[in-house]
Amino acid sequence: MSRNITWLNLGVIVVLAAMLLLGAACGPTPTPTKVPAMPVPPTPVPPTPVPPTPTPALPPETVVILQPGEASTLDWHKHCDMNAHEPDRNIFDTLLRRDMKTLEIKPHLAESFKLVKDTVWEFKLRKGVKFHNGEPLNAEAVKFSLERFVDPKTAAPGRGVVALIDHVDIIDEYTVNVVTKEPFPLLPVRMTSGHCGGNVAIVPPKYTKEKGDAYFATNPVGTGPFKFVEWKKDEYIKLEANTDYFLGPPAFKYLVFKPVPEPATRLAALLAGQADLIINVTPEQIPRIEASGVAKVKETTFGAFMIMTKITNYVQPGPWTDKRVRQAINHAIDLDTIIKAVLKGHGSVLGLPLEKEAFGKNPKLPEYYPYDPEKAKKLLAEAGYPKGFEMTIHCPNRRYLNDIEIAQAMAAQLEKVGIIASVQVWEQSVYATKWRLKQLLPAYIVAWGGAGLFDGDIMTYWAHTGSALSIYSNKEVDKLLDEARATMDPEKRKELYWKLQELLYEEAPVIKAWQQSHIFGVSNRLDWEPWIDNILLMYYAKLRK
Amino acid sequence: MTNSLNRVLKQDMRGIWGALGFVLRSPKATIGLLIVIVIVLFAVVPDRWAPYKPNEQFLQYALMPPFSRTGNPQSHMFILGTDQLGRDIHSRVIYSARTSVIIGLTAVFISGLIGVTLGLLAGYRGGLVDDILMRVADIQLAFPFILLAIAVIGVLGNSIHNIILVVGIANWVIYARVVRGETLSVRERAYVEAARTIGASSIRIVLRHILPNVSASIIVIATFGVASTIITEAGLSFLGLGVPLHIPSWGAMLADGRRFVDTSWWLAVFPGIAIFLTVLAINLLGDYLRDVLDPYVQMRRTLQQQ
Amino acid sequence: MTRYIVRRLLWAVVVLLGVSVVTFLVVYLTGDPTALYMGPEGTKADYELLQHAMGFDRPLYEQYWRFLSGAISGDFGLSLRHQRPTLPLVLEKLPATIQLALAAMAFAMAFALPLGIISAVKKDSLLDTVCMIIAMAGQCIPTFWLGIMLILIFAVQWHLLPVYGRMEWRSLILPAVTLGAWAMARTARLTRSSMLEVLGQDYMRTARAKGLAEQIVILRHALKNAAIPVVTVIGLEMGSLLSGAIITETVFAYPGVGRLAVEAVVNKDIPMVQAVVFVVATMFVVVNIVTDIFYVVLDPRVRLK
Repeated sequence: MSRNITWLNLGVIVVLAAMLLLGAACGPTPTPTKVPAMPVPPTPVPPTPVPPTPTPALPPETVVILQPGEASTLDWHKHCDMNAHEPDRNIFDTLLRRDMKTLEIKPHLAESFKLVKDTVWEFKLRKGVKFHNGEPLNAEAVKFSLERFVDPKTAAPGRGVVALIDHVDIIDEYTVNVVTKEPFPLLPVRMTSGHCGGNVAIVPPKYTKEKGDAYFATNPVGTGPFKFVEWKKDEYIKLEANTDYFLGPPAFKYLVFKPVPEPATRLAALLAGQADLIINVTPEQIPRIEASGVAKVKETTFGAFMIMTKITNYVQPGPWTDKRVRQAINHAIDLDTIIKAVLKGHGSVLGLPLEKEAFGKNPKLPEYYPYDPEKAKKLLAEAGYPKGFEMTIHCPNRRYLNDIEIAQAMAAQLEKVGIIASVQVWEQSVYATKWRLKQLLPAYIVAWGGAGLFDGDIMTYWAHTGSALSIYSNKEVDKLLDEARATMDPEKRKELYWKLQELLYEEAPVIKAWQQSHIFGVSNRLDWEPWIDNILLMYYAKLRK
Repeated sequence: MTNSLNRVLKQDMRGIWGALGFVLRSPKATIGLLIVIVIVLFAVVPDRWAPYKPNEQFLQYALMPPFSRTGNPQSHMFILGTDQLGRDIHSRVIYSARTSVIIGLTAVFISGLIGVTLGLLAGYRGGLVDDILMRVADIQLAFPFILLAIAVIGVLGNSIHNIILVVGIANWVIYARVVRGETLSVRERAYVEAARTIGASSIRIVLRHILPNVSASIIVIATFGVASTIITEAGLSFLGLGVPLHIPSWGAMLADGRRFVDTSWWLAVFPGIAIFLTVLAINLLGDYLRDVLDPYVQMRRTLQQQ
Repeated sequence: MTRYIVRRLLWAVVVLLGVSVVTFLVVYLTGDPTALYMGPEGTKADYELLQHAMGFDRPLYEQYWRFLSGAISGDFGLSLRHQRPTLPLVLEKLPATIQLALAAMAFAMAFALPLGIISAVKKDSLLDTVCMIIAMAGQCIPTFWLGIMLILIFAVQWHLLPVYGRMEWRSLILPAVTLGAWAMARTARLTRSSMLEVLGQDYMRTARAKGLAEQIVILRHALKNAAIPVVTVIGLEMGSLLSGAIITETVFAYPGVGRLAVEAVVNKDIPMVQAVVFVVATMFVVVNIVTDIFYVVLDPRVRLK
């Protein structure tokens, strides 16, 4: 009798356990129990739509954006941080800006700019623009901002890329001459608003000097469409519409950025009506958003990161120093299939890492090493490794969209031609330290671009021996890059970059690069299109009534 | 002759059967034992049970739901579905048993060994030794686990050894503190005083009189330890500090699967069930062991039987 | 008693010093943070410039000394990432975490003690089984998983509670349950086993034999004696709740010390790590001393001579 009861208890345990796990997992969406009989396309069964509910949690006239992390500082000159950049870009302005569609560099705070001589650029400023505190935007402000940025004492993380700026001359109240140490063809690009990397925002000189850097970092003042209101660390950064904005006031009153690290939580917040815009949506989350009825997905591939697997030819000895081996590795990888499976097609193969839209892109190059495992094996045999070899591919921990899965899939494909590749994932801070010390060998995944550079010059950072992060070395490549950097004539510069790409094609210093889409989840009430390369420029957004 | 031999054998058989029957008399322990046996079988010879290699990718069949039959002819069967790289979940769950068993047992052994030794020492010796050891324990406890994890696993790489080391070192304090607390209480009891007065050595007193009295708590904590290690491993995977990618583990599968919870529930649910059953089994056995080892419970049982 | 407490406080200083040394070494082992604060396009010269500006080109002992001398006067330095004093930032986030830890503890105890006592008293009954299932469930669901499930069910599906943040009191419910589940499980099981142990002892039978009502026996005698290991564990749990809120705070984007800790560690913000660890360690030590005092009160035999 008593034994029977205990057995009954056990039954209860098991049943409850199963219910708990399954119930918990399937609580939000009914379990798709259909058993597929025939070959099924590998698409997930979309969950049943949640009935749209009113979203009382979001205050009116306020747009709430969820970012993956907390901003470091709001002083544009002092960070290299995406999470700080998004609010900053709505607070500050730059002299120039790219056109969203044509990529053409257009005036913004500057009315016009021109090259006076090889080392002098003249900028004429827009009149009547005021900082949020009432200070006027004038030549003095531009001089102060640019010189503050390149001053070593400021320790701006992006200083290196505009270090060629020597000083700024004030010509009159609304005209400045930027004098560079050497010819600097990229100067206009650096005056646009890209991601970290030295794009210089204009800050108010009087305010910054009076209040000091520490105060400025938490109480920024710019000329942008939104004014800073409050920053409560780890909770929110609140901005208010700048009704005096020189292009006209924004369409809604408040803009709030909140840090929410966990992707599943960001998605939940969007679905529960507690966010207007979430960034870094993953391909797996797309069907859920689309089926929700309360939000939609926006996607852009424009100016996306170029994610590449760099492979060394000199830092660590091994088979990879032979270019045939590097070519073989490229032939062995079927990146198209990987992107289709792992990114669900939300990305594209780039090959040699230079954007299609970039200045100096060579359109005549053939596809970068088409998938051909037989040829890969042949090349390996020629190089003296018919049986393959072992290597490590280092991968960041979810810095890029499904990066770990892509690395694993590449490793599995390499195994088929005999190369035993193991994927080593490192925590973000360790990864960043190790890549600078050139300890991620022989190959590691890293992204470049997204900085609004769109110029062949970006190849410097992964191909030039002298670049801090490059693990590839080739004298001829270095020479071409240096020459192009100092050439002011666009046609000549373009030719140099074309030649360089032919050389790099042959040398194969990177494993096929790809671009990932930027995917956003947007609430139904927000009318917004992604701007150039992932930029959250909220000035052009509207709230639907 | 033959008959008498048979009789002896039968008696022996009865003896073995009796021993097993003793366990079997407790249905909870039986269930626990069965599950543990299955897990151990999975852990020892996973290739015997798994239809695929754990890392074999069928990219074209990524995220297939359970009971998917696919290929041409329908050669591939994924009983529990596939994950985002088209790997067979069923096979991965089986292979993961080894990882969890190794990490769980070794880490608990390390923390138990350190913790019990120091706890006995501190509790029995008292005084300055006690003070110092307990302050070391405080330092350990006050030091955030994640920092240790990132320092060791992040910098030295996420090998199984490092994970065992980190989890083992991070968890010794609970053993030490509970054992110390009970030792303090036990050493004041009459029979320990008696043993001391008749001149028994300290080691003998600790091993013969104190250890058995605190063993019930140790077993309960250790049971929890194995379970918590498996969960901790999942938490480490959540923070990106889990086992290396080529080693399948339930924790990593669960952490990975959270991204698919809305669309492909099977990625997380099956490793989740595996974790649940394992923890359940260990607890059932742990409870049983505690009852058997605990003199008071035994005494009570005897009394009740009378 | 007073002498005991004073002695404990003196030891506490030693503990905090030990923690600071260990923290410093461990963070140092993870490498020079300069690289993290560089733009990806910076040159070697920029690197050295920044390294010097942040002081990481100095010898280790000098860096530690600089930290310690500052810390004694209450100055934990500027956060590398935020360029702001670290200690005020941590103290600003502390109430949120204490609130969360207390709520989690309250939740855990409210369930754990009744569950443990009931299942011990009614051992092997259906009630016992159900209680232990609840305890076990809390124990074998990873925190992040439980958190995500609770969000999906209570916030997304039923729209009952907020998904994230700390805006109103309801924001506290899901994180507290998530964080408390583990402590609840552990404490419930420990309560049950200590109760069982105590219930079997001589004086319990004596008490019963004296004809005391079962409830009184349980409440007066059993509970008090069973409390010793339980109090130990509660002290431990409270400490680990403070520092262990990391995953919960991450999942719920709850602005507490745990988030600060992750941010600091991941960004190698050494002054911030020091400040966070110092504050958490202080809290922990305080909780510990209180626990130990309870100990002595509960069991006079333990009183240290």
